[in-house]
Amino acid sequence: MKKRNFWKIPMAVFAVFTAICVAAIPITNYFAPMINVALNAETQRIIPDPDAQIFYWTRYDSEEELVANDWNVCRQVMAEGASVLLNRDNTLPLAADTKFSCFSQSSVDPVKVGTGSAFVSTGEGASLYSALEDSFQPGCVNTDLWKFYVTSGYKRENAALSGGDPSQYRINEVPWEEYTDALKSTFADYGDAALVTLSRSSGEGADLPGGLEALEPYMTGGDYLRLCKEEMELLQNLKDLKDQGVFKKIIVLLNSSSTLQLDFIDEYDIDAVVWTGNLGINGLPAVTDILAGKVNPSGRIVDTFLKDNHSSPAMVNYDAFPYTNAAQLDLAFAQNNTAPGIEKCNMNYVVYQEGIYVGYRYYETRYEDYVLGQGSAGEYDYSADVAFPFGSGLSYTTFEYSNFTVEDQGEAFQVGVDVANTGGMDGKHTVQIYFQSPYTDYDRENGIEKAAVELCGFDKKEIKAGETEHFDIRVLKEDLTSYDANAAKTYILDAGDYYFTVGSDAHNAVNNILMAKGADTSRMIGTGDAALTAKWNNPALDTTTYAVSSATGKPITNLFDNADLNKYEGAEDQRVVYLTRSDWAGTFPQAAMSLRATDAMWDDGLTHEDAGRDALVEQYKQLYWSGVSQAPAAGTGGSLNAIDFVDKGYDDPAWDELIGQLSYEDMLNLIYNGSYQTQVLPAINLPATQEFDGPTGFTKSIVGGANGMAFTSEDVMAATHNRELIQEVGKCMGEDMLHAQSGDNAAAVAGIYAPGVNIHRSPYLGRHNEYYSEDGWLSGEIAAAQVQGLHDRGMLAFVKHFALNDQEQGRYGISVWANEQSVRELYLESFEGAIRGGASNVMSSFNRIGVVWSGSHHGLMTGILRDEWGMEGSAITDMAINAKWMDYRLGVLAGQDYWCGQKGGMGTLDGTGNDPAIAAAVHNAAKNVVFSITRTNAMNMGNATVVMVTPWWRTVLYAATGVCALLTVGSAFMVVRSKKAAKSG
Amino acid sequence: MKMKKLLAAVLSALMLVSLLAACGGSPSSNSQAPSEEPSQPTEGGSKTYQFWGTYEESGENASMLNAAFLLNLNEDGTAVADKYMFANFDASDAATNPTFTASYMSGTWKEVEKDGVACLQIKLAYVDEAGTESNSQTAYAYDVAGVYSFDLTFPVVPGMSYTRVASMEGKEGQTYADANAFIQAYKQEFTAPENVGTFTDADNNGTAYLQADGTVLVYAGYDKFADGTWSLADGAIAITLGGESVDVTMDGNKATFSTERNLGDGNTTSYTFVCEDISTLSAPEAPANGGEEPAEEGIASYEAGGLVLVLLDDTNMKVKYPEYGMERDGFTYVLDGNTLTVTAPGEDVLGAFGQIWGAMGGETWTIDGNTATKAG
Repeated sequence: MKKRNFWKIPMAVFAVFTAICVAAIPITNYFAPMINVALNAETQRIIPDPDAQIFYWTRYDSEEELVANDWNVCRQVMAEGASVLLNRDNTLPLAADTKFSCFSQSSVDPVKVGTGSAFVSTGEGASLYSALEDSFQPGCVNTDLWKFYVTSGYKRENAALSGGDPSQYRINEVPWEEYTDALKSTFADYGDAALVTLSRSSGEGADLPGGLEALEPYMTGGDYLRLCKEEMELLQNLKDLKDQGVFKKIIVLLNSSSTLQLDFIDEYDIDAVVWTGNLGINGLPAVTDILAGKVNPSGRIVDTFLKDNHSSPAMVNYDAFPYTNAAQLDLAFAQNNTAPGIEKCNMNYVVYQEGIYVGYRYYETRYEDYVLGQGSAGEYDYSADVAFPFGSGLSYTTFEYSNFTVEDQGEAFQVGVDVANTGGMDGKHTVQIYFQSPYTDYDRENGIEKAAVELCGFDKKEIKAGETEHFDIRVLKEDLTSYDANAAKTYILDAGDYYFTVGSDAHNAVNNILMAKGADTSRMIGTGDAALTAKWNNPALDTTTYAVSSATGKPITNLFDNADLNKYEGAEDQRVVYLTRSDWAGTFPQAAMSLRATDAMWDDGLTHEDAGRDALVEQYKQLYWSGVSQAPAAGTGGSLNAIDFVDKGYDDPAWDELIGQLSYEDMLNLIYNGSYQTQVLPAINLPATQEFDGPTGFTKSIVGGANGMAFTSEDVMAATHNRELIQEVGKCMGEDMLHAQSGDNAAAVAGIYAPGVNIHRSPYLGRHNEYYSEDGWLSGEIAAAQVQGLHDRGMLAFVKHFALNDQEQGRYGISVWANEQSVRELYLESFEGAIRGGASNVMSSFNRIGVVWSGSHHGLMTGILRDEWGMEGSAITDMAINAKWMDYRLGVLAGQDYWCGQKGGMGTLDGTGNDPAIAAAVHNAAKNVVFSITRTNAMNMGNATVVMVTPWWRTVLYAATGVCALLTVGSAFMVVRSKKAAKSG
Repeated sequence: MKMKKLLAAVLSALMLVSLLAACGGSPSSNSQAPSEEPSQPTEGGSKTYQFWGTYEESGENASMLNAAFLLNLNEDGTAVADKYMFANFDASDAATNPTFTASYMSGTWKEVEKDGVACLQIKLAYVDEAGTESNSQTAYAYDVAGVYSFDLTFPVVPGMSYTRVASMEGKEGQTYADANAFIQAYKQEFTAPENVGTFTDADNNGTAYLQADGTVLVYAGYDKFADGTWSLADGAIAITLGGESVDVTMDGNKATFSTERNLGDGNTTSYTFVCEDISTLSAPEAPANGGEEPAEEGIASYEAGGLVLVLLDDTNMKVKYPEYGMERDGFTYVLDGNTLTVTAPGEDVLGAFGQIWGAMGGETWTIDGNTATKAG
C-alpha cells in the first residue's frame, strides 16, 4: 500500500488561505474607509492636550436625560406640526371618556420614519393604543379590533432601498370581508369614534407609483396616494355604521408625509381630519393629545393638499424620460449604484416645464387669474383641484387679525398685525405674511412669471384666551425680487403695486388681495378681507440694486443658461414652452417633453468617454482657473496646527500656509475618501471625523452605542413654523452625535448629512419625508433653524441634495432642464435660506443640471454657493460609487470639495500635483474641508498630537497573510522532506 | 471566534457595500422609551421559541447579501440569531462554515401583553467583542394560529447604517434541531450553466462556460460577471466579451484568454482562463447574436434602426425596442412588395412607448432582407 504524504493537505489549505489573504489586501485597501467605520477601527492615536479647551460640551448629565429630552422635543414637534384640516361641528377635541375603534392595519403599524437615509428603528415608540390610553383613559380602545389587526397578516410594503422601483409599493389594507360578525359586534361598545389611520410610506431609491397599470390590482388606478378599494370599502362601511348609529364620529389621521389625494372626505361623511406626516419615535402621544384637547393644534400644512394630485402642471413631466436617441448614443442608466449602466448614467432627462408654478404658486395664481378673468385661465375650478390650501390648519380656539400695517424701512418692510384669541382656549398661532408682486408688461415681454402670492414671513406665539398679541415681522425687500433671466439677467424689483397681507393660508391671502383689488366676489371661493392688506408702490423698475449680492458684494447674473433649453447653445431645435400665466390654457403642459440628446449635450457633459471628460477638464481649466500659473505649495512641513485656526477667518492667508503643510497625497486622500468621514491629517494635527445620515434624526447610535433617535418627517417640522423648536431639534441631533463618540482615539462624530431641502415638486417624490415643503422660502427658513442648532453643538450640517434632486427616479445622472427663474426662486431658494442662516456645508446631488453633473457645475458649486451666497465651508458629494460622471477633476475645478466614497471610479487626481489649475483646485478643496472641521467638536481635543495608526483589522490581515505564507512554505518543505524520507525509506 | 467571523463577514461584504444606495440605507437602532414599557410582562418560563426567515434579492452581487436567520428564544430569556449566507453554496458544518455566523445578533425576549394582546417581545442588537451594541431593535411577534411573525432588521455590515429586513416566522419549541439542520434546510446548490465546454482559472475559482448556442458566460465562483459569444473556425476559437473581441492565445490545442473583473472600478481582478484541448469542442449550433436565426415569434421580423418590427400575422405587428426591453402590440401593417406601411395604435395603447415610436418609428419602411429602413 502506498504511503500518503499528509503534508500535502495542510500545504494546500495554507496555500488557499494565503491566496485569499493576498487577494483581500488590495480589496480591503479600496474599502478601508468603510471598513474602518464599520468596525469602529481606530485610524489615529491622539496624544492628549491636558489644557484643551472644550468648545462644545454636552448639556446633559446623563444619556438617559438626553434621550428623555429627545423624546420630549419629538413630541413637541408633532404637537405643533400636526395639522387639523377638518373639524366639522367641533368634533375635536373629543371628550375624556371617548371610546375608540381604531381602523386600518396602519393603526397598529403607523409610519414613523421614512426608509433609506431617514430610517431609524422605532420599535420602542408609543403605539396608537397606548397613546390613546394615556391621553384619554385606560380601556378606551377596542382591544378585539386591535388584536384583529396585529394578527391579520396584512402589512404595508415599501420599495427596496437598492434598486427599488415604484412597482414594489403596496398598501395591503385588510379587506372588509375579513371582519367577522363577532368583531363587528364589538364596535358599538367603542362607537364614540371610528379612528381611521391612512398611512403611506416613502423613502430613498424609488418614487411613489402615481398611475402604474401593473399596480391596478393593488391600488386604485395604480396610484399609491389614492385610496385603495379596501380603504374605500372600509370607509363606506364605517359611514353606513355611522348612519346606523353604531359610530358617532369618523376621524381620519393622515399618517403620511406624501400628500394623499383627498377626493374622498365628503363622500364618507368624515367628521375630522388630522395630518400627522411621519410620526417619529414619539409623535403619536402628541397626536392623541390633540384629539383629547390636551394640546391645542397649531400646525399649518406646508404643501397644498389636492383632490386631484395629477392636476399639477408638473405631473406630466415627473419621471425619468429617456432621450429619444439614447440607443444610438449608447446611453445608459441605473437605479442603483452597481447596476449595469451606473458608469454612464446619461440616458434620462426631465424638464421642469411648469417653471415656477409648483404647489400653491400654481393653484392660487390660476385661481386669481380666473377670478379676474385674465391670462386665459378659462373656467378654472379651484375647488375641484384643491382640498386644503398651503398654510391651512385649524385651532380649537379662534383668532382675529386687526391693525395690519406695513412700513417701508428701506432694505426691509416691517409688517405688524394684532392677533386676538377670541375663543375660549389658550393656543399658539402662526401668522403668515404673503406678498404679491405685480405682473407687468415687462414681465410678459421678458418671460418673467409671478405667483399670485408668496410666503415671505411668519412667526408663532402663544396667545392666551381673550388676549391679544402683536406680531412684528421683518420682510426683506430682496425677498420680493424676481429673477429676470432674459433681459436684465439678474434680480429685479418690478415697478408697480405690491400687496402684503396676513392670511390664514395661501388661498385666504389671495382672497384678501382680490378684495383689495375689488374683484367680483361671485367668482371667488372663500372670503377675503381687504383690511388685512397693504399696498406698496415701487415707482420704477429696479434692475441694479439687487444685481449685487448682499452677502458678498459680488455681481449676480445668469449662471444656469445651460440648464434652460431655450438658452442652451446646441439644441436650438428643441425649445420649451414654459407655463405662463399670460396663457394658462395655451401653455399648460399636456404631455411629457420629448428630447433628443444633441452633439453639444454630449460634449458638454453627457459623454461617457474618457476623452470627452478630458476635454471638459481642459475647458474648465481655461474657463475657471486660467489665472493660476503655478501649483500651490504642498508638503512644506511646518509647525502650524489646526487648533490654531478655530477662530481664523476664511480669507486669512494663513490658511494657505496651513494647507501647504499637507502633502499632495494627503490632500487627495481627504478628497477621495470622504465616505461618512474625513481622513486624519497628522501634518497639521487634524483628527479624523465621522459623518452620518440623518434628515429625521441621527441614524447611528447614542446611549452606549445602541440607540438612535427618530424625529418626525421634515414637513412636520416645517409645519410647526417654530424656528426655536426646530433649532432645538438640531441641538438634539447634535447632542446625540456628541454622545456617540467612542474611545479616546476614535474619530469625532462631527457632521450629519442633513437637512434635506429639495422641493416637493410632486406628492410622489420618494424622499418627500426628507424634505420640508413645496415652498423654497419656508424650507430655507426652517433649514436654517435646524442647521443653527446643529452648529451650536459643534456639528456640520450637510444641506442636501444640492440641487434639483427633486425625484428619485433616474436620480443617478438624470439631466434636469429648468429655466433660471424657477431654479433660483424655488429650487435653490431653500438652500439659499439655509446658507443665509449660517449653513456652511452642502451635499451635492447625483443628477445633472442640464447635462452637467451638479458637483461639477461651476455656476452652482462656486458661482452661486460661494460667490453669491458666501458659503464658507465644504461640499461633499452624494454617495460616489462607480459614478464616472462624478469626475474628481471636473468636481474640484468647479468647487466640489470631497467625495462620499472611496478612491477610484470617478477618474483620478493622481499625478496632478504639478498641474497648476488642478493643484490649486485640490488645495482649495482641502482648505474647505479642513476649515469646516476646525468649526466642529473635533477641535475639543485642543492642541493634541495626532498620529496615524494602522487599523487593527489591517494588522490582522497582514499578520494572517504572513503566517499563512510561512505555514505554506513550511508545509511545502515537509512535503519535500516526506517524499525524500519515503524514497530513502 | 466571533472576530474571525466578523472579519470574514466584512471581507465577504466588501462588494455588497457597493450595492448600497447613496446616503446610507436604513440605520440602526432605536431609542429606548423612557416610559413606554409593555404592560404586564410575564416571564418566558420554560418555553422556548424558534424563528426562521430569509432576506433575498436578485442582482449580480446578491449572493453576498442574501441570508437566512435562525433565531432561538431560549429558556433563560436570551435571544440568539444566527446568520447563514446560503447563496455561497457552502453547506458544511456550522462550526467551521465561513458563511455561517453564530450569534450574529443577540438580546433578550419575554412574553408580554402589549396593547392588550399577548405577544413576544424580542430585543436584538449586534454586539461586538467589546460588548458594544449597535443596530438594536425591539420587535413584537403575535400568535396567529400558533405561528408568530415579525420583521428582523439586520445590519448588512455590523455597526453601519445599512440594514435590510428579513421576514421571520416562528413557533414554540424547536423546528430545527441545531444549526446544521438549519443549514441543510436552507442550503442551496449551485447549478452550473448548461455548457458544451469550459475555460477555467483554478487559481481564482473562475469558469467560462461555453454554451451550445455560442454564448459564453464568465463566472467568478458563483457570480457571473461577464458574458459574450464564442465561435470555432479552422481549429481556432474566437471569443467576444461585452461586445469586444478577446485575444485568445493558442499553444497546440490549449487555448488561453485573459479578462478582468471590475470590483467597483479602479480595482480589478485578473483572470486567465484555460481550455486544455479545444479540439474536443464542437462549433456552436447557432450564433448567439441571433442574426441568422429565424424569428422566434410572428411570421417575420425586421431590424429597423434600434427597433425591431415583428409581423405577427397578415395584418398585425408589434414593435420592439430591445435597448430598453420595451415592446408594444397593437400596430397594423400592409406589405406591398418591399414597402411596409405601418399604422400605430393610439396614445392610450402606446403610452410611454409613443415617445420611442415618435422618435424612431415611421409610417413607411423599405424592406431589404431582414432590414427595414424608414422611407423618406
